[in-house]
Amino acid sequence: MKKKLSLFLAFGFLSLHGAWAGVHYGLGTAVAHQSAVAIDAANDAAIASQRPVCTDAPYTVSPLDLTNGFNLEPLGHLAPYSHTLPTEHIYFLIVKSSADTTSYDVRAPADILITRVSSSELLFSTPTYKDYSIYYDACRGVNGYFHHVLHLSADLEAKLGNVDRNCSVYSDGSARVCNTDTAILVNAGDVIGNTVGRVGSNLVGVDFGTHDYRKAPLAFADPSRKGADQLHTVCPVDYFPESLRVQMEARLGTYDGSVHRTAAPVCGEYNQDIAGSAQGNWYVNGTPPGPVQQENATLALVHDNVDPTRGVLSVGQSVTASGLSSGPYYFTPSSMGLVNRDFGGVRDTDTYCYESPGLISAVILIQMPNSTTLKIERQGLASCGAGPWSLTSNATTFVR
Amino acid sequence: MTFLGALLLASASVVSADEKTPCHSLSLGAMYKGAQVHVGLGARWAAEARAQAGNSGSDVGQIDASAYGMRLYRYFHAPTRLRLLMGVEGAATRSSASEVSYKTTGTALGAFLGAEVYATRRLSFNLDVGPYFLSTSVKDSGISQSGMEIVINSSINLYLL
Repeated sequence: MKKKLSLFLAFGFLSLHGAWAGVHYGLGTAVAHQSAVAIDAANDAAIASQRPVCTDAPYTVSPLDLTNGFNLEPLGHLAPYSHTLPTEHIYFLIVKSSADTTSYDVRAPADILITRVSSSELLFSTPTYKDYSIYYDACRGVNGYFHHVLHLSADLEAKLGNVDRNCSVYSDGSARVCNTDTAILVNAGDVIGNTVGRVGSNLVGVDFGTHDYRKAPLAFADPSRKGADQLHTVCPVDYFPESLRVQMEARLGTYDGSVHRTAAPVCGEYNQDIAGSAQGNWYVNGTPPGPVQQENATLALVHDNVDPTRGVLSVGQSVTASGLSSGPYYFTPSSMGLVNRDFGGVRDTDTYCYESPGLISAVILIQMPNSTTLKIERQGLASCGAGPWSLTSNATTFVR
Repeated sequence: MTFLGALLLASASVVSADEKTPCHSLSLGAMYKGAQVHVGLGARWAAEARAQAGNSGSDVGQIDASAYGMRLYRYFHAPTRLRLLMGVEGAATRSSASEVSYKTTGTALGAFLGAEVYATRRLSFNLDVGPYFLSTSVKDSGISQSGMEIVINSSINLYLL
């Protein structure tokens, strides 16, 4: 009897263990739960199928009024450690005086279906700072988003209701993020929100990203590190009619408009990976499998998004053993040799040395033991000299 | 889980009571949003027909579901005040959304372990738990969903024979 009871309790414990999808009281409840998931998926698919077929230029209205003097920063912006890897969006930016609090409307670039609105509140700011991300479907297969919309339009806010739903706080307590799924149709040119200059800040603007599922996924060296949308990143500027596209392309460059990008592609590059070489995105050894959201433990060996003739070591917060601080380290690439070698040419197991004005009495060494592993180390040398150099146990290992 | 364990342990203390053999041939039962007819097939086997409803929230409003199934029970021993049991269940399922036209059909297959406790010769309570594989298709959409779920069942049974 005791044996049977033990068997029964063991079965119950194993059955309720976390490997299962869920625990339900009654088969009817379990069926209802699964049916709800299936019906939600069917409803999402039905909404998506009702979106219009995309044209070559689905966007018809600039989301921010270009006559206000906005500059556009291309894809691939670097700002480690939050953006250690090249960004998947462009920026609409205006330089302003720190006291300027002018508001700029953000408009729907097409007849869009808003599918999600997220709020992000920075809890360490005093007072706390909150802004919104708006995600939308533009047409069948093309979606996009805006980040850093400071206020939602009154109309959108009324349709959304309470947006402080499905909230979570970052593990370090730095931010509170809430997500509201929705399905709100908005006409091209309608105001969906605004961005406002903050006192003390010299910039105002929004992030603008677009994904096109009609196109083949980007060929990252390790695609598993990117989400489905990210793999279909495109330049939003390319989705406007020619008259607008020409105006926007003329504004692609630095945040202040002082330097314009002229090298093709003028909208920059999100994916700069070259498999088998050092160029591209790297993830610190031990990074859990799957898409990487937080970029503090990553490394990008890429080119500048405005002047791609400049090389950049974009370093997150994980090269600590050798004391290399997070930051972008720029240099002028060389097409040969072991010093400041362009990353695309680093394809063997030699140790390469990099000098950058951002380094004070130090150099950066990299070495690839194999095609998917890269070691990096800061060493306290005044310059690279002629080499050879050897990495020590202080080197940090990245993989992809 | 704690509740399940406590109930079983408490029930175990009454199993040694020397009572007249409980009825076990035919019962009508009620469960959470459902009903059942239970037929004993000798001392250690039984079959049961059952129907049960349920509901859940979704993006398109409430989903109302129902499951119509058959259970086969195997008891660990002849009828006493406490009978530990195991069994399998197969059911046809369907559901509909209350505010839009979506409907689903599907199947459920599961196994369970449990116990039946007699309060009197004719009145018993049943509690079981087990893994169920559920498969659901949304009509006219091409969307389907399947997966494992843990299902807890309880019922009260009135034995007629």
